[in-house]
Amino acid sequence: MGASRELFWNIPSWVRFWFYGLATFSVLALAFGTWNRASIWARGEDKDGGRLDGLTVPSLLLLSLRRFFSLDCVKANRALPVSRWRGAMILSFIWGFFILFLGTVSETVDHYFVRFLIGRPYLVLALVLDLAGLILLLGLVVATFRRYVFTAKRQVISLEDSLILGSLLAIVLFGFGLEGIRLAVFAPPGLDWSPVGGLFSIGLRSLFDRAQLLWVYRPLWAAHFLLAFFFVGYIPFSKQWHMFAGQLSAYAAQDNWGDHW
Amino acid sequence: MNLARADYIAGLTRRQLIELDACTRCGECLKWCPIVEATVDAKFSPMQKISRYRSLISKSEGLAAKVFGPRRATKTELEEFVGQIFECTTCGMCAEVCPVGINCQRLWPALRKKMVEIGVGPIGIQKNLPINVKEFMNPYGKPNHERGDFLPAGLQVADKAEIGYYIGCSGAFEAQAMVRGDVDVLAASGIKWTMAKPEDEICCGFPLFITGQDEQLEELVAKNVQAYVDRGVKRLVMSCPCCLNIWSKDYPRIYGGPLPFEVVHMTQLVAELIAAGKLTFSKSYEHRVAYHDPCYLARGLNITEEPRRVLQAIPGIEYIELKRNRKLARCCGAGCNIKKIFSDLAIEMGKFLIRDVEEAGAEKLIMTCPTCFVKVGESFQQYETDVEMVDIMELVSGLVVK
Repeated sequence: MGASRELFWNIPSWVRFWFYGLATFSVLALAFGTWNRASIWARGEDKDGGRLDGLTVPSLLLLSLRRFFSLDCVKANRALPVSRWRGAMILSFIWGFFILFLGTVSETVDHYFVRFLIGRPYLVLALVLDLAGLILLLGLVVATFRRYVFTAKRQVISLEDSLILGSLLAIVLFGFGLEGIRLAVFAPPGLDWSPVGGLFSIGLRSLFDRAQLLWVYRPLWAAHFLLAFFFVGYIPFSKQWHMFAGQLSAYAAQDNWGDHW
Repeated sequence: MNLARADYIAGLTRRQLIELDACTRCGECLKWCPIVEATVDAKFSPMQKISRYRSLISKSEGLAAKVFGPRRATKTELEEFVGQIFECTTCGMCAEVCPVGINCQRLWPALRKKMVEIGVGPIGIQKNLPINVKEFMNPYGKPNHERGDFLPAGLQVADKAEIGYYIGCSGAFEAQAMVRGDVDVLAASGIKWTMAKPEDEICCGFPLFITGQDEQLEELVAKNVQAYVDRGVKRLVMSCPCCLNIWSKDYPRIYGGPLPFEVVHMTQLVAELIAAGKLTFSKSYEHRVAYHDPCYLARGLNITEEPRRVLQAIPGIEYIELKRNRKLARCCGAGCNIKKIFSDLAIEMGKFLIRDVEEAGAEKLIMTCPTCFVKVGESFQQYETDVEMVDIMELVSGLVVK
């Protein structure tokens, strides 16, 4: 059998109940919060004469999702002209998250439906996800510098800003750490198909032996997923809701600024 | 004041509610906000205003409110917000640079209106505006017949004409040199034009709209539009960017459809008249001039080139572009009643503009807004400089063939 990955490797089977339970809770929180926030929008009056007037809650949500795939968004057409750093940061978030999401979907399909991530397809996916994770990590590093080092004069940084940025950095770094541990333990063929994970594995192998790596893997895995579930469920209750609101706001802005927006 | 029943959502548009959620606190507005620049206080930044209002909504609609019941905002919290939301010129700089296109220039009046409804706004003498407009037909509370004091004797104005002229309250009561220039240029052009009798002209309603006290707006719109329909007007010209803004953007909505006539800025008409040869210059103006883009003309209405075309048509002029120009032009500090209530702040902000003109090496600062004209005039009185301020139509009227 060629290279592949076991979905719950080194995780006891009883944990899966909690994993899916928490995932469900996270998605329900996301759904409830999303509906609550979008319902507030729908209470707004239709007196703008603008392109958002008359849209129902589902329409507003679908529109905000569709706008993610607009050329404006995927090319960061609004942000790049104002600031290359901001534009690059936004592109890294959009593309990094999207590719990693597709990777997760692929692995789920592979695990539960059709096994196709074996051998070369798996290695290609591993490489793509490594690079996506790296792009996302670089974007987060830029965001951190912009927020805390090269900050706008008199910028106000809230606890929520720090929590969101911190949790995202942790999720990505833990993810690479988990991949690094697997690669360090298995040293599978095709290590060079996971350049970033490979670097992590080299570092981890120099610090820990096999037993220690296996031991560290479990709490790191739990932390990675708990943070990810928290992050997803918390989206509509936090500043991260701007992912959807910002799409609609920028879309509506075309009423004022034309195609510039 | 009814804090218990305060509804922070009703009355806002769908887009405005979305905009309140769209802010990422990126800080781009912080870099450009003229009030933050002058006060050195981030609490006046657009992102803090949005954050504060969002927390008011959250108290009644957020997750904690759903689980534990809504909480009431305290009087102190609201008064703090009122301090933030009303100490703003609504220059629109934040809207221009916002990466997610939040139209703050329209959002702030809506939030101010909420504060007025709740009973905690507006501030200071702004509370007199509705009474003044109701009783005197102008926000100054002055006898409305004084509106025509600037008019030269013997001015020929048709009873009916396709071109109508709307003086505006700021021009008539505070910046007479400006509106005098307007009518002199109209007279020099030879075109047939009309205007309401000064004592019958009514405030456009902008001061009421911008301070969240717009109950009279429907009545003002109906009367104002009819006044010019009765005069056969097809094109209504005005100099005040704030008047033009509300006539262009809000009057159609309140009127219930497109207005029966076009509304244009004086510089747009004059640029056309110059291009058509109906206005020609008999004198030159051998000076280095810089033009200040008013907030509500450049950012509010995207009118930036016509004033420049007018200036660059004047013989002898050396036109110098300010470093901050067009949609990124600096706010002079006067807008939105700031010039009355926060007079010292407005004067300081005007001084920033004068410094920009000095740095650009211009001798003259050309204005086309009565609000800017008056307040920056006060800044000039407190600032030693060789730069002089001139209104664009005052300038043109002194140079054209009559």
